[in-house]
Amino acid sequence: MQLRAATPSGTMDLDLRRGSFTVTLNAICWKCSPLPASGFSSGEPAKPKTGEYWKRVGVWYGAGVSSMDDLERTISGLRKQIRQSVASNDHATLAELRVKLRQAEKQWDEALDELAPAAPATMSLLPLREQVHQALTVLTVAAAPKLIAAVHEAFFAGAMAGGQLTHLRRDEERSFRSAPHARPYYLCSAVTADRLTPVRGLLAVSTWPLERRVIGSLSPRVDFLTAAIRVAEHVLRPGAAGPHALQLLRRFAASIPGAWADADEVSPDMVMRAARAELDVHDHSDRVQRRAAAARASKQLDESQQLFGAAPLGVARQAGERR
Amino acid sequence: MENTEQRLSRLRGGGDPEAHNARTIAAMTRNPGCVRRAIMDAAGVDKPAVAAAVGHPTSIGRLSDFAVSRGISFETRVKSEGCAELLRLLREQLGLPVPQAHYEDLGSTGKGETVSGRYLRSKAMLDTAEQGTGTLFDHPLLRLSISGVWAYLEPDLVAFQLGEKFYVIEIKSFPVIDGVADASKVAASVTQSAVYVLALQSLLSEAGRDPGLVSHEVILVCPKDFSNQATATLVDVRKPLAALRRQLSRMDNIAALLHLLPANVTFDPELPAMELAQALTQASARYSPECLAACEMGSFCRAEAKGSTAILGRTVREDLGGVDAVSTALELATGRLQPTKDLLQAAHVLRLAQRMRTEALAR
Repeated sequence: MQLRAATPSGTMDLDLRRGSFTVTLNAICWKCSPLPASGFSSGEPAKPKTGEYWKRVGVWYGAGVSSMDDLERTISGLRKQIRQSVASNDHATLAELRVKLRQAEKQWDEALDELAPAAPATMSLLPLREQVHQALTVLTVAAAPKLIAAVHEAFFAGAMAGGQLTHLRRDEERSFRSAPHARPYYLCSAVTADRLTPVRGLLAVSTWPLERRVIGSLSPRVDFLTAAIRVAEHVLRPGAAGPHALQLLRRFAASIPGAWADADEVSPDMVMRAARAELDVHDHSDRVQRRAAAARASKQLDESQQLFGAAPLGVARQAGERR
Repeated sequence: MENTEQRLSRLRGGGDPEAHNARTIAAMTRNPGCVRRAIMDAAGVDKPAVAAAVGHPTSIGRLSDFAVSRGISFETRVKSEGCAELLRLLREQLGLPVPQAHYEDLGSTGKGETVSGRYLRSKAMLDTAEQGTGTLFDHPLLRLSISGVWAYLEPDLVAFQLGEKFYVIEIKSFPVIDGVADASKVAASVTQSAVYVLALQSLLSEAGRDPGLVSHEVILVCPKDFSNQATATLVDVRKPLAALRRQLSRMDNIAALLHLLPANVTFDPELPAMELAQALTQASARYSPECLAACEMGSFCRAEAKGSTAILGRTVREDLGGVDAVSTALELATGRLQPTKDLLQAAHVLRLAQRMRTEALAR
C-alpha cells in the first residue's frame, strides 16, 4: 500500500509493502529504504548523516545500473557460447549454459523491477478545498474544475476528479453565509463583468482582489495566458517537470501562437515569452473593463454577493414578487 | 369563417403546436414536394405520436446516448479555457487577428431566465458587436418564425465576427479523415447551419442592421483524423439556404395547401387508428426512401406507397416516368402489356433490363 501526504512545505510518501518512506521538504529530500524492522512501529527511524544519504542513493542507483550492465554483458556472452556449443554439437555444455542463461535473465528481470519507479500515489491526505486552493494559488486566476484537477495532478500529489468540485462552491457559500469570515479563505465564484452574476463553472479564491475575479469579454483569454505563464514558471522549478506537468504545459502551448516550435519538445521559456507577447495585446483593454466592473460591483453588491455573485435577474424578480 | 390559425389548431387536435428545432427545420427541406409533410409541419402536429397511433412507431431524431456524450465532450474540449482551441484554429486557418479574442457566454444562466429574455440579451449583444469589441459568442439564442410561431434556436455553436462579417460556427463530432468527411453528415450539418444563418440574418434585420453582414459561409469544426484535435473548414451554405427560404415561404402560404384538404379532416393523435390513417391519406405524400431517415411519417408513407415505383427511390421513379405501379412496370418488361405512346421510352428501358436479367440468369 502506498500513501502520500502533501503539505505546502513538502510531501511524504509511505510505501508499506516495501517498508520505505520518502520525505520531500521542498528542496531537501530525505529517504530511508528499507526501514529497520522496528523503525516503523517503534518511532523515529535513524536519520542518515548529512551527505551520507546522497552517497547511499548514488550507490544504490549506481549499483543497480552497473550490475545490470554486467548482467547484460553476461547474458550476451552466454548466448554467444550457446551458439558455439550448438555449432560444435557439445550437448553437455549446452544444457549447463542454458541454465546459467535462464538464471542471468531472471536476475536481470528482478534488477529491472527494482529500478522501475514506484507507481505515483493516487490520493492526497489534504481536504478537497485545500487541494483546490493549492492549484488555484499556482494559477492565480479563476479556473474551471478540469484545469484545477489537471494542475493538482501535475504539481501536487495524486489525481483529483473534476466532478468532486461540483458542490464545493455551494458548500463554501453556505459556510460563508452562516459564519462570515470564519475561515481564512473561501473558494468563491468569478463574477461576470456585465451583470455581476456568477460565471458558470469557474472557481476563484476569496482573498484575491475583486478585479481579478471579474470576467469581462477578454478575461478568459487573459486568464488563459496568465495561467500558461504561471504553469511554465512552475515547471521550471527543480523537480516539478514531471510528465503530467509537461503534458499540461503542452496543452497550453498548443493554443498560444509562437509557443511551440518543435512537435515533441515544449520549452517553458518559449511558452512564457509567447504568452507574454499576446498578453501585452489584450492586457490594457481587459484591465480597463475589469476595473470598471469591479468598482461597480463593490458599490452595488454586498459582501457575500461580491464573493458569490449577484442573483440572476429572473431569480431576483421572483424573490421580489414573493415578498 | 375559420381562419388559417384556427384550422391549423384543429388539424393538430387542439393544444400547443410542437416546437421546432434546427434539426426539424433542416429536415423540412429534404422533401419539398410532400404536401402531407408541409401541412403537418406547419400545423405543428405531434408527428411521432401520430405515427405511433397508426402503427408505425419511429425513433427518428432520438440520438444514441454515446453519440450525445461524444458530441458534448468534443464541444466542451473545443470551447474550454475561453475557446482556446477554437481561437488557434481560426487564427491558423482563417487568419483571425490576434487582438480579436473576445468571448461572450450567452448561454443559459439557469433558473429564472426566460427564453425571450435570453433572446433579447443575445440580440443586444450581437447588435452592439462592432469590430474589435466582440469575437466569439457562445450559445446565442436566435429565433425563426415557422408559420407564424417562433421557433427558438440555440446553436451548439458560436457566431463570431471576422472582419466585417458574422460567421456561424458549427461544432460536430464526426471526424474529417485525410480531409474527407462523411458526405451525408456534412450535408445534414450544412443544412442545420443554414437554419442558424437564416435566424441570425433575421435577428440582425430585426435590430435594424444589414442581414448581409452574415456570411453565407459557415465554419465547420470537426475532429481531425482519428485524434481529438479539431480542424476547421469553411463551407458554402447558399444552396440549402435558398431551399430553406423557399420551404419556409411555402409554409407561410399554407392556406393554399389547406384548401386541398376536406374541411373535416384532423390529424389528432387521439383519433382511432383507422380514422387517423384515413385522414392522413387525404393529404398526398411524396414518398422516397430518404424520408425514412428524415421524417417520422416515413414508415407509414412507405407502407402506403407499397406497390408503387416511388418505393424504389427517386432515380428509378424518374427513369420510369409515367409508370406508377411496380406491377405495370413488370407487365411492360415482360411484354404482357403493350405500351401506349407516352410509355414507349420507359417500356424500352424495361424490356432491355428484362433481357439483360434473363441473359445473366441463363449463364
